[in-house]
Amino acid sequence: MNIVVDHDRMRVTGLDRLGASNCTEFKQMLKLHLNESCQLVEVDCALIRFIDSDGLGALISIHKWLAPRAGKLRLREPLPVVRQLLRLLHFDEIFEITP
Amino acid sequence: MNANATSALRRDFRSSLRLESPCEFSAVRSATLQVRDWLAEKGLSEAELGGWELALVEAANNAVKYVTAEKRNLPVVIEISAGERDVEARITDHTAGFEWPEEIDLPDVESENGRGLFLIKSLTDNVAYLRNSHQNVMVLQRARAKVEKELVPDSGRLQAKLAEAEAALNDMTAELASSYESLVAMFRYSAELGAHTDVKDFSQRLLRDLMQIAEADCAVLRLLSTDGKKLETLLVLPDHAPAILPPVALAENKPSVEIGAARNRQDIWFDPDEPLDKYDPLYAVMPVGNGICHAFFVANQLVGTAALGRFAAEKPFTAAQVNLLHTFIDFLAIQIVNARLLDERTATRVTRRELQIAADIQRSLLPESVPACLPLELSAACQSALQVGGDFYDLIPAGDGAVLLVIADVMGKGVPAALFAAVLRSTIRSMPQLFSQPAELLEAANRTLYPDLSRVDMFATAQVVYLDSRGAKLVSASAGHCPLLFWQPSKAEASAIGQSGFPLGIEVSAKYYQTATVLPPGSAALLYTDGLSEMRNAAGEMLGEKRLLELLARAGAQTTDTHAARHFLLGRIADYCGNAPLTDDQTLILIRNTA
Repeated sequence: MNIVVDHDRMRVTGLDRLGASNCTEFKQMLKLHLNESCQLVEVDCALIRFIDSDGLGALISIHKWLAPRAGKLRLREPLPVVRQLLRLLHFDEIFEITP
Repeated sequence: MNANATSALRRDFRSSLRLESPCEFSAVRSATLQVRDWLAEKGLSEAELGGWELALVEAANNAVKYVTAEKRNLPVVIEISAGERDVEARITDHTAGFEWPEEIDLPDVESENGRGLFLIKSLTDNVAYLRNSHQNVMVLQRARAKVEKELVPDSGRLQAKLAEAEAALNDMTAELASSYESLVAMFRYSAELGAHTDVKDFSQRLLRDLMQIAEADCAVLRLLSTDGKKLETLLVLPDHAPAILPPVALAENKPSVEIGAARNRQDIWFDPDEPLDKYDPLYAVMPVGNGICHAFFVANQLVGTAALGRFAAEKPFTAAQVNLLHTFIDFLAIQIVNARLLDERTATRVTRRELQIAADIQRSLLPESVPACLPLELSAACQSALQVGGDFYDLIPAGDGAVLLVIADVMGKGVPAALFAAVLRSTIRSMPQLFSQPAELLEAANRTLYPDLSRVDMFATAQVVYLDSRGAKLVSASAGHCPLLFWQPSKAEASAIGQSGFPLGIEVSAKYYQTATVLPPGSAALLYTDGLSEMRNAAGEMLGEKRLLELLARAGAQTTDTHAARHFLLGRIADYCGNAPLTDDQTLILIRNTA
């Protein structure tokens, strides 16, 4: 997993799964790099072929950190299987999903 | 095709995999990936593989997250079997377990937890969560997606595909036959509902059918005793007398899976790894192999327990067979409760009718009219606490203007008390030669009634008063009865007179004493039963003889009309009790000298 912070945006790449076994590390790493000026966190989902309810909980946790600061979480290019899961759980209503 | 054949066919065309994983997130993740690869070999589509992977991860993660501290070293077991039509997975956990919710809703969209069960349910067709004292098993089942059959020119492959299709068809036919058997059985039982059926006979047929369909070798059915304290054996199959299993008390701390299932409201499994305790009463019937004990409830009330056993150690019951057990036994529970309600309703109807008849008889025993004995005037009343009571009174013309007054209270209430009241009345009426000698009359009546009363441990109190109108004279005798109360206008207070002997039916040679009293003009006397003096007010305080004497004096001073005086008395007593319902029969006779 790579994290690049550029001014008010953070980009997370190289993630191939997000589940119970790595979600704690994911949350800790992101919160370590997040600062008050961060307005956008983009998670590159193109390689993520598996995500479970704990992984989704981690995304919610980041979203809740950003929301009071008028920041947002964007999920980029999720695979159909992940996109389907996000839709099933209505996460497409709170995260920005592109394209 | 029978159920045995069905299961044999099903097993032939299923293959399975069993993995034991250390109880850690990364380890169960690896195990689920192995399962995914194995399912891929079975030809599941990419979408199906993704669904199974996620469902298994969710179930296995729960097993890791909630494992109890002392069982963390035990493995999470994932078993999966794939057939032509479906895939079934069993995940064994060592958590404290939980009740599988009837409805699973998504949590608030901003909640970080609580989506696991929703995902499992969304990704499978059927889920069962079977709890046990030492482990729990989550059973997931999902039908396989239909696959377009490819056209293959190779005749060998075509033959193979054809055989496969034929086998699948046979499998489906067998499954259908099994379902048909269960359905037919349920319809047959439903048709019997409402008909007056012997519960044991009905249970036996249902249990035999269940044993055949679920491939069980033995079964035990126990029902909760009427006092709710123990489980009593109704059936032991195949064909053992129920006496082979004595009742087990629910409060006992002895090893018993039946008590455990009933107390904890969950199924208890036993198998060669976790066998029945040798001191468990069920061990006498199910000493080896596999088994399950299910406690059944109706309206949250325990009805009984059912245990199924199989002697073959290598053949545990499948989730489908456990579901069958639940369906059949829960259906039986409703039938048992319905039969009991029907019996109770019938018994209540019969009892009500009997009471009605007895009440009619008792009413017919009371005097239709009050004999004239001027200048003395009589007014009487009898009210029963139940439809039929043990109180009665009698007013018997005794010739030459004389009247015999009898007031009595037979111990108890209801039909037995009323029957003895009727016998006492007839006995006294059969001795007119003794009417003028009340003490002798009571002694004779006691000797006659003693054998019958003592045989059933009953007794009666009675007061007999011979009323001679010519001299306004009262001759009274009492057998353990309330004293005669007496009031005269010249005195402010009323008083009790006479002395009492044993109640009737206590001592065969009991002696009684009689007292003669003259009732001066304007004065009154009261005969009553203890139901009157023992009435209580809202504070629980008894009316008592003293207050009754005061009321008699007030009634006498209030009016010269005998009936009005009786109404006054009863009205003031009702006021005292605040219209509380009667707890005992109330009977009184008021005598007034109207000269």
